[in-house]
Amino acid sequence: MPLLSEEDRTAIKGHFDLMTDDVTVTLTKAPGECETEAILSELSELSPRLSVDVVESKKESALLPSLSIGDTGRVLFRGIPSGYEFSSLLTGIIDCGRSENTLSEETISFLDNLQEDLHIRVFVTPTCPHCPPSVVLAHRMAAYSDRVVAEAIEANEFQELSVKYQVQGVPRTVINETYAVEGAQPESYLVEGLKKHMQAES
Amino acid sequence: MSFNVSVGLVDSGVKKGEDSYQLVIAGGGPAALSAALYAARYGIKHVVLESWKPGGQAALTAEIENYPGFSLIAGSDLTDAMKKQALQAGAVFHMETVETAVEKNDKILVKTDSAEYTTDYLIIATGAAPATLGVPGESKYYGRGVSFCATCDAPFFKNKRAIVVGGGDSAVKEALHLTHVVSELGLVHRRDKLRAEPFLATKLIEHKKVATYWNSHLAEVVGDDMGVTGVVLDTPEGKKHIDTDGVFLYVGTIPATEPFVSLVELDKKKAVLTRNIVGTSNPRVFAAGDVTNNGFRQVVTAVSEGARASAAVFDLIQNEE
Repeated sequence: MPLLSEEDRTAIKGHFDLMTDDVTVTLTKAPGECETEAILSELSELSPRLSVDVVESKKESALLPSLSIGDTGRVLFRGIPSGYEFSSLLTGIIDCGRSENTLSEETISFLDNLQEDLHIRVFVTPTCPHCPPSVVLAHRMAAYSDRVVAEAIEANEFQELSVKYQVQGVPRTVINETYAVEGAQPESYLVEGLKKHMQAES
Repeated sequence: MSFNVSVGLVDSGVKKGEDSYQLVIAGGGPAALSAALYAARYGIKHVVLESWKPGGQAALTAEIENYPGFSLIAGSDLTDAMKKQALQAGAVFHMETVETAVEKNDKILVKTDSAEYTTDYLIIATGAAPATLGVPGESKYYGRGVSFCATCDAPFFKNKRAIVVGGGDSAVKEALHLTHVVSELGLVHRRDKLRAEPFLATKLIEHKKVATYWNSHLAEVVGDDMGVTGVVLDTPEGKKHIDTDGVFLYVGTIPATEPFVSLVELDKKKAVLTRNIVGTSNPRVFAAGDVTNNGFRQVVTAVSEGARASAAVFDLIQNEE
């Protein structure tokens, strides 16, 4: 039985029709059945522009399942993209499939002038409706700048990481281990906060 | 966990700055979603500026049991279904936050964090944000034990202790949600009985995991480098320290009216002062839902007001033609 209803397939297809470029999603998973692989397979049927590569990993230390959206290797999702995070996955695919950039001029200027690499980790739960905007923003920054890697991390699935990064509420955005933002924040707030932090550090 | 498809949250990133509309709807909760549905069906040229918190407060409610037609539905499922329905009807959503709205040349100029819109009419449905108490430790430990969203953060308190502060419907509903997860739950309320629906209130008070602290106020949140470790309460017997891992605050809301202060009259609590339910002091501006002074803050009243507001705009447009 398909995971997506006919109504959802129609709605998703409408979004995917906005894509002008081809997108590959690479799924790294443990051996065996995987619901994430099944949902990606259903999604790939909805657009000729979307293809899915599946890689099996036997490493016990790997964060699996793991998705890399597009071919940059910088737009990542760790865990099962279910619940509200399914919309983060869809938005990530649509973004990678369009040449148009939707970041603000201020954010683009900030990214163009980056002197160091940024590793953004956004901790989320599938039941958090405020989380996808934080993931989408981080993914857009990573898609734009080769100095940025953005990982969405499903906090329930990777509890060791959640403990390490002191996650007791979501979304929690941690950047380069040194800067953290609680809650869903507008793009301008995140960038301004980050600028100030980087100035203070330098 | 199912792949429930939150298509409503997909941000296609399409922006149309400096465009002209008949109607701008500010907000993303039930009032705005209902206004969007009706505006789309009326054929009004509109855009919904839904900000970064789609679904509004209702989306953060774990379980809703009093929305007609549903014995029990997750708040997020209900708002997601509303948005899907509005999208199917042709509603247009932009994920932008309204920063200011002012009158300009017989129109209203709405500025967001990334664009500008000129519109003939505006519906303010921006809802309300959780109020804070301003007590020591509250902001310091936000995200590290202090939370306003049990639906989002409950998993972090599995088999741990938590307290809920508040006595209204939201406090009681979210406290009941937390009882499924935590080992012990304290309920702190400033009065000697709950304001929430009696059915839910009784269910909570009688729950074996729940301890109640009546006529008590949260005085301080205390913790260490890892997060919250306890709270100090002002009780009728004096200060009392309680060990806890989480503090969930439901102590009222503050209407999100800041961008609209020059457009419409507000009441003392900063809610939009309405007349005839959805009208405001400005004939081109309507208001719906928790942002108003209408009082009864329920999803069912919010959707009703959203529909009325779009209908009022439609009538005005018809009369102009």
